[in-house]
Amino acid sequence: MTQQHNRPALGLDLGTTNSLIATANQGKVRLLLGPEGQLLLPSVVHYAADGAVLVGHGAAAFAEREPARTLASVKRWMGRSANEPGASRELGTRFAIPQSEDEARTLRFELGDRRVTPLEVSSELVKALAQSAREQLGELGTVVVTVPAYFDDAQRQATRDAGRLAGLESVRLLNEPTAAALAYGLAARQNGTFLVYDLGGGTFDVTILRLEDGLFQVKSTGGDTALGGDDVDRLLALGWLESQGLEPGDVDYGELRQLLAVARELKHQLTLADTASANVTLAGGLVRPFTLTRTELNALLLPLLERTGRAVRRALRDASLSREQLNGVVLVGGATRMPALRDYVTELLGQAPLDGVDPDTVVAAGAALQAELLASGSEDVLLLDVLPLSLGIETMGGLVERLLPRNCAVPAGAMGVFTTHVDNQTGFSLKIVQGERELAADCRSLAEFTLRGLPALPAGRARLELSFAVDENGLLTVTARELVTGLIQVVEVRPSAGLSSGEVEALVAQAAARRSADVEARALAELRVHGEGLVRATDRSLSQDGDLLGDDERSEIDEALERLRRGLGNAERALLLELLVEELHVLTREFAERRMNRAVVEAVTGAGLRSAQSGEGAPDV
Amino acid sequence: MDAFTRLSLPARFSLDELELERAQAAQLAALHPARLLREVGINDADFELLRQQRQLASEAVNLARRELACPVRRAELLLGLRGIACSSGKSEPLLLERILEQRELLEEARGARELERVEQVFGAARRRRDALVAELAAWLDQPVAVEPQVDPLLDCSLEAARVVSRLDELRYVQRLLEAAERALDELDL
Repeated sequence: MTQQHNRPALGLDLGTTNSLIATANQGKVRLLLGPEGQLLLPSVVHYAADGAVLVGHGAAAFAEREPARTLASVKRWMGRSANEPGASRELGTRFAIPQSEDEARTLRFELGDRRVTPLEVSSELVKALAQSAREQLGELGTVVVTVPAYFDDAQRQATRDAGRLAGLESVRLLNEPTAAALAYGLAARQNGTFLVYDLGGGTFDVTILRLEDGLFQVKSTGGDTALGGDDVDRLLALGWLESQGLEPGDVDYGELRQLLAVARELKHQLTLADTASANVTLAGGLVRPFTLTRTELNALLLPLLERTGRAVRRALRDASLSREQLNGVVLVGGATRMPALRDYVTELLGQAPLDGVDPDTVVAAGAALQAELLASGSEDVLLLDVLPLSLGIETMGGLVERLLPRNCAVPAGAMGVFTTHVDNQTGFSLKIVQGERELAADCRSLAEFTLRGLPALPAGRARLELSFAVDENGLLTVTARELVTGLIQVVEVRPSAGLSSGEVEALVAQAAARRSADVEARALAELRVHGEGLVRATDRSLSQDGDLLGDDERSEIDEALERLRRGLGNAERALLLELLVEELHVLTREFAERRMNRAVVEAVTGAGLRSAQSGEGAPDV
Repeated sequence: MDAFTRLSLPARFSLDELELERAQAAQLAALHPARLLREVGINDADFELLRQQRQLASEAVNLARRELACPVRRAELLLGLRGIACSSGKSEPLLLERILEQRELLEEARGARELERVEQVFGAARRRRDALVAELAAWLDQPVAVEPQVDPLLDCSLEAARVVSRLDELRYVQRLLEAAERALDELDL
């Protein structure tokens, strides 16, 4: 009997564009509704000036009105430093300028009076999704959060810390393509070698797995953590600006965000249509059309697709396989719906991708299955994953000594012995790096630490033994020992990018202290959005169909409307606002029915031409 | 414990990928930390200790698999089990000349960014590796025979000495293959 088995297992797909949750019971997956009552929660977080935090559609509603306080696609920046290439020129994202070298270790977003890290932003999404799951399932058991297979150690650490900050005690990580393969493999019950091509909003992963009687063995993995559907949106937006004779600097931040949203919408429309068009509103109310054909989109996509093709060919080489040896290709991620992408993959791999897999939900489904497998201790299925990028240390001359090669199975361990190069050296400075390049400067620096207090010995006499251990989540631990004297020092591996463990602990404590205030602030902010919409809709309905009300009815509604207006301006308690919103709802219910009846009659008699000609839509209340 | 014993495999050179994969999976099925369930009543420290033990055991299994997947390492292990030094410590001039020639070809092709020529070097190296592996398998998978002729340098039979020299060549060819793979990655833009 185990503790884990008693509680429901949860799979959480923390995506660049959307996030979602699922649970599994006896191998059957159930997708869960998110906090807004929909499956997909947009991975958008809004930080209101009064301290409230909104997520999902509620947050996305602020993207144009308050773009600087509304953050999207932050997954691209998990575990990144402020000095990261591209951090200063990302279109539509505002980064904080670091005030010190120490602060530069972690990238932060500028929110006016506040700065937040990608880890904190992600934790808001995890918190909302986990709370939603608790409301539907009760207290949670094992939670599996998915990460791109090509995420390096810093990005994995940041994702796990986001879970901790969201109040989840033990988060297990699972690579997204492995999750997809698990969901597909368990559903199809088919053995063979499969390639998972996963193009999400911000990341691209390719993974080759062999499925054999419940054993899911990753043969190789590769990809690009800075390539996804968002890049297509950015290229479209830049292309449109150029066509209008404009530079990105000519439009303000809000206009850029609007332009990116329009580009994304056109891209979605072109999945089915050959041409798509929308208007872009620039400063001063200037409206300009944005028209795009599928041919134009395809031409723009090609260089990005070729980047994915390169990673695919490399993954095949790493797995010592030819494309003919693949038994199937699984597409994952919303971006894989683009017809040009499907054609490209078909040509690249000589076979059409498998149908019957929902690219939006397959990762969450796989995460839920893995969470259940972990909780139940099932012996029918075993996942064997690999390290996506080589791990090593910087040696003399800035070269990399690799201790663990890419694509080795995890858990993985390795040991290396190093020595001093100067007489009487009493400290070792070590830099842990990840990547495939020969020079440490070209690889990603994961951590730096110094082993101090060594006895003064001639150069080459000291022997430093370094042990690397990568656990089943793909997370690295490094320990160091001096062999001549037997000196062992406990060293803190301080992340070069991302937050140190101390900083994360402080955030966790802060979050715990603020939890009840956060819940109140979130509810208040959501009610404000809802209440403002209700006031606008009621005003419009009254001006259109006010004649349907008697004098008493009208005055009751007017008074309730006024009370809600005042409440929106000064209510500090969610409960009060909730009562005011509910009051107006009750008082306008009968009015809404009368308006509906009128609309039906007008439609039948042709009198509805009035509202159609004036450009107004159906009744709002 | 040697890698063969760790994976409960017979000590032989001819091991296919699937056989290795299954042996590794059989060991990990019992040892993998993902299979560790938290029993009621166990404290955090004891649970972490159990997890670490499983992690170390799994690391050892995965390392054994990595070693046995490499033909050079497999041959070294088998020669070691027979008490034969796994390197001759000398380099044949003709072999060195051939390898250097191939490396120069590779560098030229890489410098000129000619993907096709890099692929040719890669293909030739792979064919040579496969031939060497087949030759090593033919000898290493035979039962140990009494072989009276003795190589004075290696203190083994002349036939064994020939196998060791093939292993030396395989090391060079493997490194050439790795360099060619890196060049392919670089040029496949």
